Formats: sequence, C-alpha cells, structure tokens
Amino acid sequence: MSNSCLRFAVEMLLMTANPEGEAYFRTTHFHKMMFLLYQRLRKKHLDLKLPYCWYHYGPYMEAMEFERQVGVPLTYYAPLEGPTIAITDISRGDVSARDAALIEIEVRKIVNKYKENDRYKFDYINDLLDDAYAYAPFKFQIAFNRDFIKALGRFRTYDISKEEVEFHLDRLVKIYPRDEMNELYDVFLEWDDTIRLALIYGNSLDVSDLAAKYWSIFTEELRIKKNENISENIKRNWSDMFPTKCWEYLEDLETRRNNLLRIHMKKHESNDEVKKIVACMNNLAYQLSTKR
Amino acid sequence: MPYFLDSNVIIGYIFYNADSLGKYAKVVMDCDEQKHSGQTVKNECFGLHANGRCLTVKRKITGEFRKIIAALMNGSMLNEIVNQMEGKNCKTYYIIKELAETYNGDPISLVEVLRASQRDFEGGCLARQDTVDAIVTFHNRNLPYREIYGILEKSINDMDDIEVILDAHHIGLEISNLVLISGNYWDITAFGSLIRRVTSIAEVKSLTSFAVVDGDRS
Repeated sequence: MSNSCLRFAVEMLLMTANPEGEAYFRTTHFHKMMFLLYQRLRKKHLDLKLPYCWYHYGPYMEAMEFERQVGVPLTYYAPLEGPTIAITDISRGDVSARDAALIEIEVRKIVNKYKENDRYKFDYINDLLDDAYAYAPFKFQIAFNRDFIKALGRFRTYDISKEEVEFHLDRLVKIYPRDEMNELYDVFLEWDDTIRLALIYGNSLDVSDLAAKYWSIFTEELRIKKNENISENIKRNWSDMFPTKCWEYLEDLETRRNNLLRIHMKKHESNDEVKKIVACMNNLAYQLSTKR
Repeated sequence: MPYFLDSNVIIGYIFYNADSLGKYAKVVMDCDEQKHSGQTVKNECFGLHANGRCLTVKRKITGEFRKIIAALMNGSMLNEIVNQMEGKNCKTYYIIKELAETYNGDPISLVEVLRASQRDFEGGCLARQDTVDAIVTFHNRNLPYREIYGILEKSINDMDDIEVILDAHHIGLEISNLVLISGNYWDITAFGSLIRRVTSIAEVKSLTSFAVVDGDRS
C-alpha cells in the first residue's frame, strides 16, 4: 500500500458519513464527498493524491488506480449496488497525528454540511453534485449537466417550453470549450443541430436521449483530459478505446439525424432563397466529390 | 437495356444540381431501366466506414455552415468571419461571401437561412441516397479477371477505373446487354471500343449523352 493517507481518509469518511452502512449513503455520495474532501484538504496543504477523473456523473475515483494506491478494492468500500460498508476500525498506517487530526476535522465539517438536525437533508445528493461541479474545469459541464439536463427533465413534464430548451442550447454553443475539447467540436455542432431538429419533429424522450448520449461521449473525452493521479497506462487505455466509442456514437447520431431529416423534408417547405443556397451547396459538393 | 453506373453518376445524382452533370445523372436515375453497380463504386461513394466521398464532402460543407452559425451566435461580426474563411481556404467561402452582402447587419436572419440551407442540403442528399439504395443493386465481385486487367492497364491509367470496369464485366457475364454509364471521358468512355472488345459490357455511354434524351423528353 503506497497511499495510507488516502485509505485513512476513505475509512474516516465512511465511518463518519455512514457508520451503520445505511442506504442513504451510496456510491455516488461517496465519490462526490471524497472529491470534496480532497479539494478541502488540498487548500490546507494536505494532498491525498486522489485518483479521479471527470466523467459521466462528475468527479469519479478510478477503481484500478485506487486499488493500486490503497491496496483495497474500491468496490469493497462502495459496492456497485447498495450502500457503502460500515467501517468499525480505521487503518491509520503511517499517517502522522497532525494529518490524521486534520482529515478527521475536515471529514466532520463536510459531512455536517449536508446534515440538518443530525440527519442528511432530503435529496442532499443534488447539493453534493452542485458543490462538486463548482470545481468543474469547464463552465460547459455545469451548464450541460446541472442546468440543461435538469431543464430537459422539466421539458418532459411540460413544465418548460421548447423555446426555453433552445435558450439552454444557445448558451451551450456560446460556452463550448473549443480550445481544449476541439476534437469533439464538429460533433457537438452536429449534435446541436440534431437536437434542435428533435425539438421540432421528435418527442421529449428523443431529446433527452440525444442529450444523454452526447454527454456520454463528451465525458469519455473529458476523462482523458481532466484527471489527476492516474497512471499513464490507464489513461492510454482510455485513449485507445475512445475512437471506437466515438465512431459508434457518430453512427448512432447519424441514424437519428437522418430519421429527423427525413421527417423535415416531408413537412417543411423551403423558400426560394434557401433553394438557391442549396443549389450552390450541391454544386460545390459535386465539384469537390469529382476532383481527384 | 440494363445500366451499370459509375461513381460520377451516383455522385452527380446525390449532389443534384441543374447546372452540373447532375442533371444527366437524374435522367439516368429516373428512367425505368434496371440499374446495377459494384463495390468499387459503392466504396468510393459511401465508404466502408462512412468515409466515402459523398459523406466526407457533405460533412465538410455542413460542418463549415455550422461553424459559421456558431460564430454568429457567439457574436462574431460577419465580415470578420468571411475574412477568416478566406484565410483558412474554406470551401464555402464564395457562398458565404455572397450572403454577407445581403445579410450584413442581420445575423439572426442569416443564422436562420444558414440553418435551413444546411438541413435542406443534407435532407435532399439523404432522400436521393435513399433512392439510390432502393433502385441500384450493388454487386460483389469475387474474381480478379487478371487477363482483362492486363489488357486494360496498358491504356487506362487509373487503377480504380479499371476495377469499376471489371465490376461491370463481372455483372455483364450474368446480365446481357449491360451498358456502362460514366461521366469520366478520359479513363472510361474514350476507351469504349476497347472495353466492349475485351469485356462482357455491351455498350459504354457517356453521361452527357443523356442530355439528348432529356431534350427529347422536354
């Protein structure tokens, strides 16, 4: 075991946050709280070297690296299903008394933040996610995952209009992290136009599904770029898997887009100006296609 | 007589434009004759992994349109965008430059027109591709026909064009009176008599020859 400080912090957190291993504290709560603890301790000059990446649901500890560092599988502490385990003994290892005390204080502060009258607040996972996302490297992540996805939930229940969804899409176009996520910019713009088509011709489930699938591919690339304390071989593996995942995503997007375009062509009447531009586009396409 | 279509017929049809060879391609596609083609043409047009010419070019053009829409939504000035496009050698530069004269000062309307145009362009191509899929039978070839290849390569420089001719020959052995239609004069139609002599292809017709049919019909 090479990171006794991380093991101590994990066990201290679990013993404080969920001493009986009850259902109100599960894997997601654990991952987000560990990340927030890591950030707090870093401000106090104690680096847990948390092996995490930004992924589908925010900051997420990488299991293989975690086990490598801690010597215990991540799923021992947080099984894939059900609550986290009840910890009775904490492994102190070679953690200094000063560091152990600091970790204990910060763990108590962080757990108490989400409690009211000694009980966790209702739906405290949302507060945890908001707090974790406050550290997100890109505003786009917050706008997409915390605002846009939530808005789509309200769109499904007819609480907000199509125009309000479009307002969120306009915002996403404005803040897309083009410099750092340039490889997916063309894909993003294609997705943007496709989801706008789905707002006209599809149903709210099509819209939500398109959003979820885009977020999934965006975060596949995001974890490669935004991570800490993760070994090169793990990152290389992510990079090697990405082209196949991206290709599968593009194929799915194209199928969905084509279905929407077929409806568009049946229901929509273009004006003369658009017809003239389309003729120029076809002419250009023909010239480019036949040029050897 | 059944037709065998070269890639320029299919590309001309998919990117239909009354001012290009596309108008002849449309005449070919609209007629009642059986239409066949081969894997060489299919790969060239549509690719094995969505990387054929049609999709690549369509993506290039729509991608540029979408980037302009995003730039306008982000508040970039139209003349700045046009200048950048010229510097980056963008393919759609002349289209946007012309639109800039009409829409300068009205980015909202320009976004609407660009969005409608890229959707109609893509939707039109897709509809025509659906037609191609429905009416053209693409055949596989499992024989190299080395002897014929050897004869053709002495006259025809482009190896892909020889492969197209061999694909047509392979089908011509099963389907009589097959007519190879191509818009490629220098590597295919100019060698019509040679192709007829050494392959099973009954006739080689230039795509532009369908202009007469078009004229007769009108």
